[in-house]
Amino acid sequence: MLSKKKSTPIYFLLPLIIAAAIFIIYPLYKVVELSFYDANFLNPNNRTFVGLENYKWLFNFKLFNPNISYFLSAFLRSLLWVGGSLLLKLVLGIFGAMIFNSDRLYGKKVYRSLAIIPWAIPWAMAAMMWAWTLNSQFGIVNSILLRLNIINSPISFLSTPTLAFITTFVVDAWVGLPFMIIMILSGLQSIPESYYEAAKIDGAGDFRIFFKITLPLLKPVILTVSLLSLVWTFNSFDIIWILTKGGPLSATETLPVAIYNISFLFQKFGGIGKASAMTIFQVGFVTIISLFYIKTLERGEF
Amino acid sequence: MKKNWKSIIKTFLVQLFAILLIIFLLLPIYQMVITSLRPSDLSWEVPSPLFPDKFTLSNFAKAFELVPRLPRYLLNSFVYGAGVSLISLIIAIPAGYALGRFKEFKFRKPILMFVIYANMFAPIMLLVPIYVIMKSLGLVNTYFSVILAGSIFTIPLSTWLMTSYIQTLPSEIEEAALIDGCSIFKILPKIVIPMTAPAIVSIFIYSFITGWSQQFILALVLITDDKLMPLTQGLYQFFSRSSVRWNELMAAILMSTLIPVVLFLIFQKYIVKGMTAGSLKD
Amino acid sequence: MKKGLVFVVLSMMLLLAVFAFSDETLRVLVPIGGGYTIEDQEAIAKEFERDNPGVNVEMEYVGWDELWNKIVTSVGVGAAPDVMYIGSRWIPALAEMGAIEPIDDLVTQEKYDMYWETVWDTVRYNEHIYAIVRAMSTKVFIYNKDLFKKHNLEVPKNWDELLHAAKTIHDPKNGVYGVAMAGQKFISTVTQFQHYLYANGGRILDEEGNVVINDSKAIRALDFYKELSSYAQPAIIEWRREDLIKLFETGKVGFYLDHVHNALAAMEKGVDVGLLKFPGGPDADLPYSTVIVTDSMAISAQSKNKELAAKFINYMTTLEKQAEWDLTLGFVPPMKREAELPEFQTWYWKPYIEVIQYGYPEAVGIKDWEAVQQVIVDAIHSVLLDVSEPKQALDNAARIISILQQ
Repeated sequence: MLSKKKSTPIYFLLPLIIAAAIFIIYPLYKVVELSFYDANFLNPNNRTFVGLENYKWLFNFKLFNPNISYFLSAFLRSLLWVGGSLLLKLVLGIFGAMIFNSDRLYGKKVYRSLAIIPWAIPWAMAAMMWAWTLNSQFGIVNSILLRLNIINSPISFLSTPTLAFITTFVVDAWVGLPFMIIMILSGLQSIPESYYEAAKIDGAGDFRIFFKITLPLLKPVILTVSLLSLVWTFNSFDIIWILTKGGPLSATETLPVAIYNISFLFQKFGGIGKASAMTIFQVGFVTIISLFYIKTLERGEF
Repeated sequence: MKKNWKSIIKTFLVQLFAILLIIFLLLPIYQMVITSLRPSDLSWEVPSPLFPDKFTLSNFAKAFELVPRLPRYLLNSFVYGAGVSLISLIIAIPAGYALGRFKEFKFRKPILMFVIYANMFAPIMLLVPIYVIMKSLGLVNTYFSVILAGSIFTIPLSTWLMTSYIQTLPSEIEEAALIDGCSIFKILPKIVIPMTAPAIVSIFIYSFITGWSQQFILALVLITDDKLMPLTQGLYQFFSRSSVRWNELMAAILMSTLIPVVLFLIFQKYIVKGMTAGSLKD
Repeated sequence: MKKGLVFVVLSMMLLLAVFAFSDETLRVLVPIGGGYTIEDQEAIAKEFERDNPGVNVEMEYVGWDELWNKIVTSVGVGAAPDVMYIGSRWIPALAEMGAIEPIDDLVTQEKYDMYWETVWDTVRYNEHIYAIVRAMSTKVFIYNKDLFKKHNLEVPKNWDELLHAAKTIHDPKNGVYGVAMAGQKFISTVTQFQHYLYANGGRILDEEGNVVINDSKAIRALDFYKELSSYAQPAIIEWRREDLIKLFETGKVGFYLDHVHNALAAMEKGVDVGLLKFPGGPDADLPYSTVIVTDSMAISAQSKNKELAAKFINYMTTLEKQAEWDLTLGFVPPMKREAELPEFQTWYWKPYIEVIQYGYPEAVGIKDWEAVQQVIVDAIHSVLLDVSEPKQALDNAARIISILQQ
């Protein structure tokens, strides 16, 4: 029986193992190694060993905010930003999936096909499109708000710290929403009709059905999809970079953006050594969430 | 079905919310389309018009003036897409087969867990070492650097796609071939690949589109030569300039997004199926 | 399908190989935007090729936003162009990086004497000259004479009068703004602020290299800047100086700071343009002030064609060629004799030239301009966004700049 053979797989797995060793394990090792050095991206080999200095730097170095270290503020900012985006994705995702699954909707198929279009757009281009859409003079968002008399003068979505923070995670949610909707939709479709019929016979209203039947049955899907989205959003770079480059006043400088800045922009007090120390935390967060994710999968069969 | 007013309101609300959601999802695309169709010499009005009043196709031609290397960027994106998908296929097909078929294999579980873990990785996590490694190999500013680096992030899911698909297929045909004296290595191209065509298409489409569309940060760091830039990076240079010529830029972006969007829509079945398989275990 | 893919990848590799081999090519990196266009640069390349048969000039274009990144990263990977067009403010950083080398021997006494002394200050670092100036700018206020006349305003001679003029003209309900200011995270915002800083006698660094951007003169300048901003167009932070002309052209702005070529552009759109030199501030003893900004051309240390590069640079900076360039693009002549040419004696060029003697270079002694620029913009933003007071913002900026100067 094929499944009983113990040795042959190695040859088939060799490319994967080699690729993983060279391009994942080795770079991970390099991140750890570099975190103990001070180096510049222009001359990575010209480096000095600094021991734990970089880690001390993470918690001591203050840049624009004298109250909290640069790294900590970036990390916390990431958590907050990701929280916002994820929450939006979940709420709109569940809502959207319910709507697109509803029997009351005419043209379900069309809506679903249209809904996945944002997924097909490269993130960088989505960001450029949104930047223009949100433009304070010529963008359609301001145009609509002005015409509906919701506002009197145009809003500058990306130029004030708090608003830029919110706007960027809303755009990020937009990018991830189709995936969310499709995943939850497939979860919805696997709920047997009989459950709903039974509930309706019992006289349950729409809201009761949703909270007592649908949501609990969707828990596995929502959990897996949230964990995935959590990691992907935590790693998000393109969108913020193109919309605000981390500004204004570092309001949107999440950990990925900070890592990039420290690596390539701030050579005097940055460098790839310090960036590597920051990356350890980036990787650490992803690893912890991945462990949860793997545990969740293990509850199904392997 | 009792058609009372409650039901009618519910139906109306469902339609309304669906439309609002779609408006949200398509808003920037709509904005891109109307801007690219608007004559660029028309002065801007505030508030800007919601529906295009004057049409022109001239921006599409002018886009090539604004972005002189636009065709080259397109070619480059294609190269990256092709390169990433090629590598992903080469690695994922045998690995996925091995992991899917040989369930008693000693290291199967750890490797699978590693694949799932690696699937969570994104370029920012390995940006610094990738740059350092590519630099020391002298590969910075070459197609290879982005192709190799980009593949890192598509291989895990590609492998997983293959693994889960194989498990849905019975192994009789391969067993029969083995008994007939066929070597295990011949089985792969002659039997397995034809059998797993749907998975292969999923892997190809997924990794091609990823290689084509999502190499922004890797290209930003590894590519400085304009001639090698993918569309995302190439167009970004024009986006961030002062006095951006929005009409022409939007036209360029529209033309650029056509390929991934069309590919995506045609193959959406494969992509959706792939993603569902990749994140859930049925 | 796989065969097709292999074919594609192989043919791409072939293409790449083709591009790897080049002949006598001179690679020149030039910026686009802020007055520079692809057409102008192409014309130069063609001229040089015509006068130097056998040479192929390959121009590479990048926007001002990305020019610094591009230079740094291509130096980093060992693929720097032969000739680099740079903001002179980057010279200390590039020199420290080893990206450029001193070119003192390329500058003959004759050539040296052609330029204003202050121009050489912008390209000097550690007593050496690192580049030849290609474009120079000073700025004065371009104002709308009709609006001034309408409100019976005299040409402002000091800051109080300047503020008064802005306040009087400011009528946001009718879309009229006293002043137009830039606030986007870009070099031109810092240059704009520096005008106020210098006019009040402030500096980023003093002669000994101490950080003085938070002294009382600077704080006063930032205070005034903030006050003036309340009579400016909305969403200042979204605007770049380079785009303010669009606003001024509509005839609804009282005054703003910009180049000659935009004064001309406004005139073409029918605005009755007047020019007023930046008045000195309350703490300074100057009648006028300006910031001397230059762009220059440097030879990359990695270049294998240094002689050809030098030839190209000297070709571009003869009196005739420089005059042609400045007249076409609307820049200030960096050469004394050039400024004496009849073409520059117009009423609109004269103020820009007159103000040179009151100017101070933008980045003397600053070792890492890009980082300092970021710090200053953040200080400006935090004041404009009411996140901090000028003193707080500048103290923080000074703290970081001190670290950067080490």
